[in-house]
Amino acid sequence: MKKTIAILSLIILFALGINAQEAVKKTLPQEPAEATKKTLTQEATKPVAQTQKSAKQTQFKADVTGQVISLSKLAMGGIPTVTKAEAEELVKKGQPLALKSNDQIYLVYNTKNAFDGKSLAKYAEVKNLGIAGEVRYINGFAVIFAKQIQPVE
Amino acid sequence: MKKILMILSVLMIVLVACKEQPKPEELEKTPTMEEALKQAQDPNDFTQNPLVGELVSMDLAAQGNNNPLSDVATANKMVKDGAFIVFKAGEAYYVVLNKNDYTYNVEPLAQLAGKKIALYGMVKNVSGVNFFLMEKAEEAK
Repeated sequence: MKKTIAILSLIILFALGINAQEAVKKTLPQEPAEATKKTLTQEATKPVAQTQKSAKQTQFKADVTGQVISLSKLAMGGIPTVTKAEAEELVKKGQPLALKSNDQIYLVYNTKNAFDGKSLAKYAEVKNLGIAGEVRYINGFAVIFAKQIQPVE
Repeated sequence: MKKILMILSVLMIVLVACKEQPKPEELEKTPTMEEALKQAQDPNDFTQNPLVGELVSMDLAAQGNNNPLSDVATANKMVKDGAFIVFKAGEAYYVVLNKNDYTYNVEPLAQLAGKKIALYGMVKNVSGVNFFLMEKAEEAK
């Protein structure tokens, strides 16, 4: 009888042990996201020369960086970026261009508060276009009032 | 001794039961009548019943004037000048595109400025932007 009790106790202890292990796994912090990992490794391996930018580049501080897109292409659901030729053609036809930064779409306005998709056309195909200016949310749209637009590294 | 054995057995059963209990999210969902009705009536579908609203110039909104465009002449001028015109329905704002070719063409809508506009088509949200894929526009009855 004593043996039986001992075996049963062992089984219970074993079961409790497994439960406790699972609970610990759940509470342990998750590994950092891939994006964070990448930025961490990038920063660690960034050469010193890269950080020494030209005076002009250091003066320009982009508030938003991204790529020029067509709103029509975005609505279609495909890749919304456009080539320079496409962008110029779209502007001619009065089709709106915008800036896509990560998953945020920005309407670009000039300092005179006028929609300025036209200015983006010449920067189509630039992989990392920087815009310096004030970002405001108007009627649910993210709007950047561009003071300066230029490609960034 | 029997009592101890009983208690131990009960404890084991409880432990096993706890472990094998399915998580709430794993439980199979049974659609209610309300859910089924909701699915049937797509909230983004305005092909039968139009979405009613007005035209708003984002350019004017950027200057602090969020009032709907009140006359055709002003709306036409804004369209000609390349202003970004959106459609306001309730509290939501939509970029209106033609359903057939996804082009932005607010010129026909500008002719309805100052009136309540009924838009037929579908709503689509991409990357936080509300698009209205328009089939037809008319003055709301």
